[in-house]
Amino acid sequence: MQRRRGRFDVTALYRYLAANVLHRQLYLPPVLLFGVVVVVGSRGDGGPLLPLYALWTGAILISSVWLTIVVLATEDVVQERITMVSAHRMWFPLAAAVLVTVTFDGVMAAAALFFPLLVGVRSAGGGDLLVGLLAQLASAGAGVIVGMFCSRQVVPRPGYALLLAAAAVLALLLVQWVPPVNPLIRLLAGGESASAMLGRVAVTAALVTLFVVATIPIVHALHRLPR
Amino acid sequence: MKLASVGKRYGRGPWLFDRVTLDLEPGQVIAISGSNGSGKSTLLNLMAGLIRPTAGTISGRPRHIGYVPERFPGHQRMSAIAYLTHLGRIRGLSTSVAQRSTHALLERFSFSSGSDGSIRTLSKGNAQKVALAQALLVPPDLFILDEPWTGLDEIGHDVLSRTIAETAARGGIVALSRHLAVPGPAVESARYDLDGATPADGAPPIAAVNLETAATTAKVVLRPHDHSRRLPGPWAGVARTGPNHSDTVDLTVAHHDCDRLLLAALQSGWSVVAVLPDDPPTEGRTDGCNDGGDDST
Repeated sequence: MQRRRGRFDVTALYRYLAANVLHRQLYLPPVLLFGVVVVVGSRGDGGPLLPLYALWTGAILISSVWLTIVVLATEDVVQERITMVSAHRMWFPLAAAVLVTVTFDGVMAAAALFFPLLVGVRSAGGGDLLVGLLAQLASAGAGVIVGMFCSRQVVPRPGYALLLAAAAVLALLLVQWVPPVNPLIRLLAGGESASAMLGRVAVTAALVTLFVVATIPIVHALHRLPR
Repeated sequence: MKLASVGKRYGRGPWLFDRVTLDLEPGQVIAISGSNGSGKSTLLNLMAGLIRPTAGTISGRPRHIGYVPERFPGHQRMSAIAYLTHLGRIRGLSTSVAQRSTHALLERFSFSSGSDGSIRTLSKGNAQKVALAQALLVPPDLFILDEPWTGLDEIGHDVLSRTIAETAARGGIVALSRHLAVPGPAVESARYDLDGATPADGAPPIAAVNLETAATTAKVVLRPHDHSRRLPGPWAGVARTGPNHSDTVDLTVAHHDCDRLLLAALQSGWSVVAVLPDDPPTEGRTDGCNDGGDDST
């Protein structure tokens, strides 16, 4: 049989899982929640952008946790087994699902970045936009990590998963010494210029990316298939 | 592929089985039998690499594995063709090749789609055909089937039997589970019973599975009236069908299938020439079926 590159295809896995997520439409509630926050939050008197991005940074954490949990639960348990066997390496579907979630997060963050400008009440420099994007992506990445640990693969019982996710989100939003979301929110809302905080935000986003990648094999190792 | 002293238990629960040792050669078709909860599906999941054994090792697992679950989930909104094309691409096929393979396999299994083509509208049998097709998009080196006969119609039985035979003929390993109470053609070259591998509570794990010997199969010699050589229903594709003399065919079937085969053959216009124990100790023709069937007609 003719094969394309003689190996199993992660891009195809990404396309399949993305199509599955779009078919199931379970992404809609977390995306709509974030959209409502952005639309309502953008109504204002044309004040500075960074405090607004601080609000987005908090909101995208909640949506990202929710999205990650639903994306990882899109496939039926049996279907998930078929996909794992088809993908040859059992952790490929998990990695592809994380990529799908990050794609949704990226689209949400980009839309939230420009929405206040589109409604015409504010102006922003390139530094504001970059800091706002990196802060949202860092927060979304933290949400992906929380979502992976609260997913069906690790916590099969939805009640426990919900409690665990709620506790983690509250801790990340409210406890000052828990990185990265609360420090980012305080930084964005603190009145500093974008150029002054860009380095710290960029380092935070890079570290969160590393942690997301490192979490994939851990969650795969914790993954317990039901009998 | 080798399973060396493999055992499985979940958490601190009882051992499902332990010290299961299997040496699977290319071209072999094995059946795992056992009662409910004996661990048939778990053993197949271990072979597929989906779960890790609690004890023992599995080595030499082939690269291309076709996995057919016992129950194919029916809530997919995606169409069967789209689903199979996606899975073909995941297995490394180009889109056009994946589509061609999908259509060829669905046609082979006489698949008929639901009202809007989505998997969730399929009947159980058609969903099972999709499950079989996804495992065959790339010819598997290890073909794992969990109670595959459930829900399939006669054509599905026929095609599946032939597919299993073809996979084995290519040098693939076929491992399937079967419930002795569920009818299905005997395609396996060996059968292992997991019931003997479940230790009693508190007792040390007992040794391995029990290989059913050739004494549990029978050779049936049939002669067609119309020389079409087409056997009825699921036996049309039995792997071990082969010519005996110029106008007869031999089949090796499990005892529990023997009476059903004889009945179906007679109703389809075949004559039963002989029923023999498989690999008989003597050359004499004797009754090989359960409950004392006729030797010949």
